[in-house]
Amino acid sequence: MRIRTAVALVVVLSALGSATAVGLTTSSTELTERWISDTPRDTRVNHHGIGTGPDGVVVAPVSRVGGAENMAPNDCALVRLAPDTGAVRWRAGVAPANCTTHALTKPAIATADGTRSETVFAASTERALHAWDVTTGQERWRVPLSTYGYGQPALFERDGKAPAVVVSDIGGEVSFVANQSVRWRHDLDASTWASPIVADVDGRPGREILVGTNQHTTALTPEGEVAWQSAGAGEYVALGPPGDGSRLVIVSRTSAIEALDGASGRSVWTQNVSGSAAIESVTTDGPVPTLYAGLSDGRVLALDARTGERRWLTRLDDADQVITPPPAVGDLNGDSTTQVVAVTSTGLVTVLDGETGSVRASYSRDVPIYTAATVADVTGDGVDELFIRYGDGRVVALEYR
Amino acid sequence: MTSEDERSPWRPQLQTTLGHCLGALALLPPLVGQASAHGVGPSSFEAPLPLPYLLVGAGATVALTAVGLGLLGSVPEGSRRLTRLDGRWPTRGATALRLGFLALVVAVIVQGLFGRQVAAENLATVAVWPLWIKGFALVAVVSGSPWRLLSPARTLYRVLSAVEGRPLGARALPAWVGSWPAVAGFACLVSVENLTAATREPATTAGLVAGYLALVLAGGVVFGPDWFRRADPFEVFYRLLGRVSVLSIEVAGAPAGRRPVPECAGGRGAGESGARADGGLAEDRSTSAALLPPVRRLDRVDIAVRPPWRGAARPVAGSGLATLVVTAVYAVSFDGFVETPTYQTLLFAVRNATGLGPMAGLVVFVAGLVSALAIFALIATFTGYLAGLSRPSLAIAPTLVPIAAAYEVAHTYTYVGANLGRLPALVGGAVIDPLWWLGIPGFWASQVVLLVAGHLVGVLAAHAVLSRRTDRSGTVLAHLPLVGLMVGYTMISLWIVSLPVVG
Repeated sequence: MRIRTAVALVVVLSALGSATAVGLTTSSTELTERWISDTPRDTRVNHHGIGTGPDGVVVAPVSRVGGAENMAPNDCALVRLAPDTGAVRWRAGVAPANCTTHALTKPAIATADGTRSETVFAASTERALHAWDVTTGQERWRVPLSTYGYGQPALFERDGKAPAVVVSDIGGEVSFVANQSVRWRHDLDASTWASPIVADVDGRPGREILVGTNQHTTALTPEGEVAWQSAGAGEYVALGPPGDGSRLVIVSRTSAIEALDGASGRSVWTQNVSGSAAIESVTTDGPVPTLYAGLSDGRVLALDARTGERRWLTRLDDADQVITPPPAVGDLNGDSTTQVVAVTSTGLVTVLDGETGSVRASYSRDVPIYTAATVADVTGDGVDELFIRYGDGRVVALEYR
Repeated sequence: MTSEDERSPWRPQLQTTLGHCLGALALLPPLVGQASAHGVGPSSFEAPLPLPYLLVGAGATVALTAVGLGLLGSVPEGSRRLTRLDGRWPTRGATALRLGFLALVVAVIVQGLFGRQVAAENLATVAVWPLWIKGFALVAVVSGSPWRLLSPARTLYRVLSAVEGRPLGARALPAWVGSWPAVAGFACLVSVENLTAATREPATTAGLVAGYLALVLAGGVVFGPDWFRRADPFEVFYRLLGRVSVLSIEVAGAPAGRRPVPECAGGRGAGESGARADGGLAEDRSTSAALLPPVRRLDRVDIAVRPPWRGAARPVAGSGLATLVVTAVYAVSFDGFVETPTYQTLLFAVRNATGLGPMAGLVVFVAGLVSALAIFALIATFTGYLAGLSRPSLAIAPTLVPIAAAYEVAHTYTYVGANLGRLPALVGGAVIDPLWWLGIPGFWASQVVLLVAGHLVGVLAAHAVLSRRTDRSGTVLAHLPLVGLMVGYTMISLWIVSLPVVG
C-alpha cells in the first residue's frame, strides 16, 4: 500500500472511530426500570394516574373494562405498591358491578403532620368519595356523589385539623367534604375531567378552589360561592406564576392555551395550538417560568408562562394518532435542575431538558400510556421518583441516572 | 395480469389458479370500507369477517395453491425485457448516487453527534432506521438491492483504491468464513433495533453508523470486494430480498470472468456475479468506472420483468445465508409480535419465572430465534429426505425469502412513508403525510393481501425447487412439510398483524 493511501485510510478510520466513540458515549443518561408491578389487566386503556405520599406511599387505581366476563371483586381496585419493589401491599376493590375503566380516580394522599401518610382519598363508580387507611387499606368512610368522579380529589389543608377534601364528579358537581360530611355542593353543570386545584390565586387572604370544565373555568370560595368564571373552557388547569398581587391561572382546551388573571378571571394571554393541549405543570425555579404542554400530535410545547411566548417545541413521536398527556416536572437525579417527563400513547417515556427541550433519555414498552407520569419524592431522599401508569394495568417505576 | 399477451412467461392455467386465490383477497379492501382520514380514525375496527375465518381461509388458500401446483406441474420462470438503456447514463447516474449517498451518510453522522438530540427531528434517526434500513429493504423487494450501488463503505473503498491506483485488498477471504460475518451483523442489527433505545437516540445512531462503516471499510481494504459481498449485513440482506423483485436489471459490457466467490458459489444462480446484476440496480465492476480507471464503460442496461418466485427458487450457497433468511423472517415477525398483548403476557411469564427483569426480552427473542431455526432445520431435513436433496436447507431457505419480503413490506411501508414525509420538516418545510388516504382498515387489508401473497410466492418457489428433483407425485409428497409450515406461518402472521387493530 502506498503511503498516501495509508495516510488517507488512517484519516478515514480515525474519523469514523472517533465518531463511534463519541456517539456511543454521548447518551450517558438513561431511564432504567426499577420495577414493574404485578397488576396486569386484560385491557390497554387504564388511564387514571398514580397517587403518592411521603414515607413511601404509592397507590395506583387498576381497572378492567366494564362488562368484561368473570369480573372478580378486586379486578377494579386501588392498589398500594411497595416503593422499592412494586410488591402489592393491599388492594381496595370496587364492587364488580361497578367495575369499569373509570372505576377509581387518581388518589390523593393526606398526611397527619406533613411527613407521615395517613389517608387515601379517591372517588369511584360506586358514586362515592372514599377514605381508606393508608396502612391497611381498610375503608374508613365514604360520602355519596351524584355520579362517578374523574379527576383526582384535592386536599384543602386546615390548621390543626384533618384536611378537607374537594372532589368534582364527571357531571361537574363539586363537593366540599370536611369531617366525613359534605359541607356544600356546587353544580357547574358541565363535563369535568380536570382535578380541582386549591390555591390562593387572587392575592387576597384565603384560598380559592379552581375547577375547569368543558364550558368554563370557575374559581370558588371556600364557602362554595363563585368568585369568578371565565368565558372559555378549561379542560386542563395549571397554576401559573405570581403576577401583580394575584397569580396566573392557565387553562387549555382544543386549539388554545389561555392564561387568566387569578383575581378576576380575565384573559391575560392566549396561545393558539394545533389540536388540543394537555397541561399540568409550570416551573418557576429557572430564569423563565415555563409551562409545559403535551400536544395531540406527539409534541411537547414549552411556553413562557408570563407571556405565552414559545420557548421550545419538541416532537416526541411521529406515529399516527399520538396522545400526549400533560408533561410532569421534577428533579429526577438530584442535580437541582428541572427535568420534564413526557409520555405518549405509543408507550414512550421521555425525559427532556427543561430549558432546551432536548431529549435526555427515554424508555418504552409496546403498551399505551394515556395519563401523565407521576413524579414525586416518596422516599424523602431529595430526589424525585418516577412512576408510569401503563394501559395494561402495570405500573413501572423508572430511575433516571 | 389480464393485459399480459402471448409473450408473457406466465402460463394461462397458472394465471387462472392464482387469479382465483388473489381475486378473493383483492375483494378485502372494498369489504372493509373506505379508508378513514389518516391520523384521526379509530385505532381498531371490526374485521369484515371473524378473525378465525380469515385465518383458516388464508391458510386454505395457501394449501389449495400447493395442491393446484401439484396437479399442474412446473411453474414458469422466464423473464421479459421492458426497456434498454444506453450505458452512459446509468454510469454517470450511479456515480452521482454513490457520492450523494456518501455525503448523506456523513451528514447523518455529523447531525447525529452535534444536532439537537430529538429523534423525530434529527436527520440521523429519521434517515437511518426508517429510510435507510427499512426503506432500502422495500426498494430491494420492488426493484432489487440498491446497496451494491449505494454502499458508503464501497464508495470509500473505491476512493481509496483510486488513490492507490489499483484495487485494494489482496488477501482472499477464507471460504470457511462464508457469510457468517453478515449473519452476525444482521443479528446485532435486529437486536439493537428491537431491544434497545438506539433508534430513539441520534448520537447513538450516528456512532453505530460510523462503527459499521469503519468495520466494513477496514475489512474491504484487507479482503477486497468479496468482503462487501459476504460480510456487509446490508448488502447480503438486501440482496436476498432482491431475489423476489419483479424487476431485473441486466448489464451488458461489464468485464467477464470474475474471481470465484466461495460462499456464493451459486454464481449467476445466486445472483452474485456475471454480467447480470440479479436483483440489483447496477453491476459492480461496471459502475466503478467513474472512480477506478481503467474500466470498460457500460454498453447497455436492460430492464426486464420476471416472476417473483424465480429468484427464490435458486439455492443459497452456504448455511450462513440460510441462517440469515430464517433470522430475517423471524425478526420481522418478532417486531410485529411485540406489539400484541400476547407478547406482554409471555414476556411477564418469563420475567416472573426467571427473575431476569428487563433482560427477559432478550431471552424471549433469542429463544424464539433458536426455535425458529430448529423448526426450519427439521422441516428442511424432512423435505430433503422426501425429495432426495443433499443439502436441503440451502435449497429450501430461499423459498422463505418471499415471506420475509412480504412481512417486511407489510410491517414497514407506513413507517417508511411517514418518515419520508418528515424529511421536508428537517429543512424548515412542512411535514407531508404521503399516506393520508390510508385508514386503519385499508392498512390492515393491505397487510393481509401482502402476507398471503408472500406465502403463495413461497409455495410457488418451493414447488419449483422440488419439481426439479422429483416427479409430479414425488413433488406433492415432498412439498407437504413445507406446505404445512407455510399454512401455519400464514395463519400466525395474519394473527399477529390483526391483533393490534381488529376489534
